[in-house]
Amino acid sequence: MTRQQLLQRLLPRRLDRQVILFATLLLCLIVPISALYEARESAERVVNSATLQARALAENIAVTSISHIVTLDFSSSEQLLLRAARFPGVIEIQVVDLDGKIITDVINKTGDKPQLRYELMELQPPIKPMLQSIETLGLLTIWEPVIGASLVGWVRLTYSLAEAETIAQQYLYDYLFDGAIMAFMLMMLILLVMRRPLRLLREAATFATELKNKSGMQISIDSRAIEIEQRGLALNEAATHLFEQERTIKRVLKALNTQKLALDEHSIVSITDVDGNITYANQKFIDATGFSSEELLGKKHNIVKSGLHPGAFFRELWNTIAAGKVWHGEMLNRCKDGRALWVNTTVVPFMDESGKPYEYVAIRTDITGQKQIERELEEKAATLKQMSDHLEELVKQRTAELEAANSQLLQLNRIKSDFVSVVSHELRTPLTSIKSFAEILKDDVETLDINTQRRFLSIINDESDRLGRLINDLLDLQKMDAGKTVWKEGPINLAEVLRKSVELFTPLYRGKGLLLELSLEWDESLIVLDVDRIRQLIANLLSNALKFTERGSVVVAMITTAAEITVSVTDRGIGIPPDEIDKIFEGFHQVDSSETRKIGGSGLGLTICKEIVEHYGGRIGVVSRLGEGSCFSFVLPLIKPQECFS
Amino acid sequence: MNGSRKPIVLICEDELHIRESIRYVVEKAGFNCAQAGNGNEAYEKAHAINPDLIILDVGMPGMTGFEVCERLRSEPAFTATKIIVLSAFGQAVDEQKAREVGADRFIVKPFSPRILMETLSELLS
Repeated sequence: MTRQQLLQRLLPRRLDRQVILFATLLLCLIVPISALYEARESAERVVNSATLQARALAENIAVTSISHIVTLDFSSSEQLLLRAARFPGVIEIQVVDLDGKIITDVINKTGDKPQLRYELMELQPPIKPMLQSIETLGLLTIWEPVIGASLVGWVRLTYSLAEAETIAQQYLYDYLFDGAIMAFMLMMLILLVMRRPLRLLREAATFATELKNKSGMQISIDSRAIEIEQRGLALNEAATHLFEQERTIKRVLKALNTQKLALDEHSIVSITDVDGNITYANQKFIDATGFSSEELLGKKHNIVKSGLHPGAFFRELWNTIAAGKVWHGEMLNRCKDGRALWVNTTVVPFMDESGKPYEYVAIRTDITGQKQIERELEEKAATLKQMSDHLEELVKQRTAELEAANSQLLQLNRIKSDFVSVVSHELRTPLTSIKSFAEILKDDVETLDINTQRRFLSIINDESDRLGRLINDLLDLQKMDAGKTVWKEGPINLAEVLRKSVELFTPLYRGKGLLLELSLEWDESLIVLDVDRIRQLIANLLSNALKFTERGSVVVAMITTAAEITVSVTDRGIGIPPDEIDKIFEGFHQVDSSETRKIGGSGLGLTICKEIVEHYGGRIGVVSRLGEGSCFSFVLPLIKPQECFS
Repeated sequence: MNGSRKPIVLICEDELHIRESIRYVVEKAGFNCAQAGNGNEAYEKAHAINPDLIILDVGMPGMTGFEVCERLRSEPAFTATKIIVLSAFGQAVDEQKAREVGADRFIVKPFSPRILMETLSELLS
């Protein structure tokens, strides 16, 4: 325990008591000292006075005793001493002669009845007068010389100082008593004087102690002591300030509370510490998530984590708020029952004095409905987009179809234009020969020999025939195209028709050194067809085979099934290049070669064949290898097509 | 024209009868005559015999008369060779085309042998 602590423990805490204690201690010290001092002074004075009295008495006795000693008048001396011995304090008086022989000896032991003493004894007188004090016994012995004409004897007076000391003692007591009275009165006076300032101080102390309960009140400062007045003023100022502060705080608190109420009405609010532990969750939070307050408080905020957002999303959030910045964003939370809760979130970090966040306040708005609508809108938008895409696709398709149709039309138009051009060309070609040779014959008839003339006329004849066939074929096609052809249909035996056609062409084939074979698989029953058109069809195919074949044989075959009839004409001719195959049924299209041009033909034969076959709902096609030959075949309904070219 | 030698005329025509009539005209005019039945043959023969005049039918198999004419004209050896283009199509576009590919004359089928002979003589005189 230090001195300070000791002092604190010993000293009373209250100031008035401290004042009393100090005053008491002070007076206890001052009063006895001053009383003792005074008493001592007084006692000294009393002893001095007693001593002086005793000497005066001894002098008087000495003066009176001169004659007694000279005259040896013992009786008068005894009378004198007995009287003198009655003087208070006198214990013994002796008168002695020069030799120290006692002349008279009086003793007053009781103090009031002096007696003569006759005990012979000698005293040793001093050389000179002396005052001997035996203080321990409180006795004073005075030797007074008796001087007449010369020294004749001595007076010895023993004096008791006891009385003086008693008086001095009495003085001391009196002084102490008076001092105590004075001290008490002084203390009372101090207390009286200090009472008011002390009371003010005490009141101030109490006021200060209870300041928190005394808002708006003021303490009285009616004091003459400037320090107390200043303290009081300061206290009042502090009280006023405190009151103002309190009022402000109350107002702010009320405003804050109102704001909190408003916030709680609208938002989902939670507060977490820096580690993400929930320290507060408002009712709306509880209502929205379905977790109870107990389930939430102290738990990590990820209790409502949905798992939708990636780790980076939360890292960004934490980095933002840990840096003291406000975070805004939308996030998906998961309720206790697993429901999705979309919230628009603002997280505000609260910073301490050192600038470090100590808690985060998160304010959220439920936007699940909004999100739902957004999603529906997105879905609708997606549907619309899909529809739009589909529509676009349709438009594209239609456009493509239209473009195709248009291009087809353009192609048809071009074909028509080409056709006219081609027809013109095809008509002009035989006409050119006819015109040339006719003019040559006209101009040079005199110079040309008869054989040449005949040959030129023969050419004119052939080319005229060619022109005629061409015109007929054109008219046939035109009629078929326009649907104006008259089909003279009747039951025919197709095998028979084939046989007759082969018979008709055999001589022509033979003339070229070729063989024409017929292979029939037919039950000879009848089918309904236009016999002339079928003949034309077969004739065209046989004619083509003849034209383009230089060696070997041409085979005509007919194969039947329950449903179809297939007729094929296979040659070992020049064949058709693959890129020409699709065009050969289009008209005026012969395989381009100088060889082929030697063979006359309208170029419309296959086109007419195609028209006839298609009229009966059949189809016509060709399989060919360049340099190996071709196989033309047509299939009529009830006839199954068959590969005839291995 | 070298007087010691008769000019050579190359006839390129796929139609035999027409070719024969042209040949008659060329020979009657006193020129030597060579023949080709399609475009490719015409091009090759032109290089082989280096004729003084070429009669090109437009509608030939293989290279058309226009193509043969254009190719020959692009070669230095044939810049001076006279070329007559014959066509059975006869439209104005063909005449235009014939000029573009560098033909000297354009004759429409059917043509007059007399006119053809005059043209030959004119070009080879």
